[in-house]
Amino acid sequence: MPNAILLAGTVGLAGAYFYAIFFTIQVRAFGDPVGPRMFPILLGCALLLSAAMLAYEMWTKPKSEEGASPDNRQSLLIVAAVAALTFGYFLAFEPLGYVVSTSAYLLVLTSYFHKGKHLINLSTALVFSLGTYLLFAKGLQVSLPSGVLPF
Amino acid sequence: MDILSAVVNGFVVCLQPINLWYTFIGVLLGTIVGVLPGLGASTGMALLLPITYGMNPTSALIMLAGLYYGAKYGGSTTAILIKTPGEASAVMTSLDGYEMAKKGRAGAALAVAAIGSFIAGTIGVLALSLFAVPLAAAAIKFGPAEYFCLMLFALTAVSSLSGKSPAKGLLSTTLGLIIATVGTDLQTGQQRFTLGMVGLQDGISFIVVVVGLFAMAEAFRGMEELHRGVNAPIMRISGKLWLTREEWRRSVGPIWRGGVIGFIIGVLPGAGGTISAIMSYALERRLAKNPDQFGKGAIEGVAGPESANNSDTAGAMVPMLSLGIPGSGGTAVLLGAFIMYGIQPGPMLFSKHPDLVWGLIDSMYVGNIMLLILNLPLIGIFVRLLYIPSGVLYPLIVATSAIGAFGISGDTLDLYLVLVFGVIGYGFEKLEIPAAPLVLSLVLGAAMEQSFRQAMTISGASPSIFFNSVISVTLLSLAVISIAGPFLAARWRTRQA
Repeated sequence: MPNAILLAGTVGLAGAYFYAIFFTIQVRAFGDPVGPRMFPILLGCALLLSAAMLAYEMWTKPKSEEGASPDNRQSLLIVAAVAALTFGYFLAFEPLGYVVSTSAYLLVLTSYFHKGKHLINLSTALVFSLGTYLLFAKGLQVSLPSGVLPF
Repeated sequence: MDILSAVVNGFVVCLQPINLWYTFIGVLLGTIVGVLPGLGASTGMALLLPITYGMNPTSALIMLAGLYYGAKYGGSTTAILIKTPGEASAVMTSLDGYEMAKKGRAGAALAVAAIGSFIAGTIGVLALSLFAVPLAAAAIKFGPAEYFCLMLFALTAVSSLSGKSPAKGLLSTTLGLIIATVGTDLQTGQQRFTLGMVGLQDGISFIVVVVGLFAMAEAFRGMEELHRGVNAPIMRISGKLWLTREEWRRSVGPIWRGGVIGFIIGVLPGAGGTISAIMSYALERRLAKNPDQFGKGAIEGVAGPESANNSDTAGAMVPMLSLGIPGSGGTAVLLGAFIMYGIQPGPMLFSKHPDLVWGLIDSMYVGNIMLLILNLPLIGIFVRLLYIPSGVLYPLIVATSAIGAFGISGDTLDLYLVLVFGVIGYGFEKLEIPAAPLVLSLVLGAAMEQSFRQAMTISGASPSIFFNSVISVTLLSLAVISIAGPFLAARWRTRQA
């Protein structure tokens, strides 16, 4: 089943890619004889070749080898939740600043994945956020937003 | 400059106090990254790369390379103590290493892994010193057509050798090349696949892809495993960190053979440390007097693979430095670092930047000595890293990824792209699509297209230029064999059965 979805996705991607090539990339009268479309066209062909190879592999592989993967819906939901939380973290990154957003993010995640150790989780969140901010933003001059904090 | 003078000058560079310091930091971080299960050299390099942005290129590359081969040392620790390879290439070590630990010989297993890695690593660096320059000299004769065919062969070989499915390998490679085409076409100024976003006009940063695909995806995978409660018991280090005379006698042959095998396989694009380790294990099992001992704590099963995966790192550096073609995921990240500093690896590297390249190569000799010291008497300290709660470690990896991504240009678009590639990387793992080909092709994509268009311009848009030289035809044939070979072999096996 996952390979079937992958095959369908690859074919769909190839279709979308060819559409993007022919409708968004303009070819001008001057420039090199190949132009900006040729290489992407070759890549689109490579996508179709991948799809053909995938289809062949699916056709020749015995059904018993397809692999009985356990139902991991709950695990996938957890990962989806973490990804959504990470998206929220990045949304808040500039407005709240690195220290505040990172502390909050770390506290939420460690509270779930390192249950019961509230003091360690809080200390880790604060020490890591402040420590890395001072090290990178002030020490190494790496750009990190201060947000709501005055420093 | 002859090779001996170049090597001596390289030592002058790498033995400068500042470069010694960075070699130490690199190998120390590499050992830490290697010890922590699941992180690996590529993830560690991906996280470190943005931080090196403003550094002196020589020092930065020495540190990154130190992390790359240092991770191979650290990876054996978890393979032996918790049967979980810290680095993918340590997978064979976990078979017999863990069994040795169960029998109270964890100390001997760790010792042979460290000593074997040191000897084989030194063999690899010696071979690198000897072979890199002649290969670079031969590559100077390559024109755009030959270079395009070489990169095509490298990518098709990577597609076939990475993972179980050549189709998925090719898909991963193609996706990397597609990502490389995003941005402004430098020859015509045409925007390609930028979706109207100003932030994509310069293309998608290599650092963003690598951090997302390796570090963030690994964090997602780790948190998923945490949720499932997957934990292996950690064996205590027991016995002296040394070998008996009998164990020494049994280890010498596998160490030397592993060193040679690892280097040769490392030179091949896409083969990687895992294949070196597997081939070494298979060879030692075939040569052993008691092959039935393998899988039950045979020291040859640790000595050979550990030596192979270390000399493999030096082998992978040969095509990266001489041809500008990375041989593995780790060297792909290293190549990306070279390009980030405005230095183009390839045949001219040795003549244009001799201090840098020989300083880098010679730093590997020094780094191997440091690693032997770190991994023998100080191994007890590194084992403590295994007790860091994963529930704290993985969120920290995501936060560190955010620093790296945002630090590139201060644009939040890079953060969202890291997340996207993190999800893609996680999906890759679930669908068993190898990620290394995507990284390799992303690094080579721009150069590959440029070579292609230059060749076509020279020939007046005639593809016959790719069939005009023996080198091009040979490489094209090898590329076709790389793609078609696994299918033909499978069909032949089916018919035989």
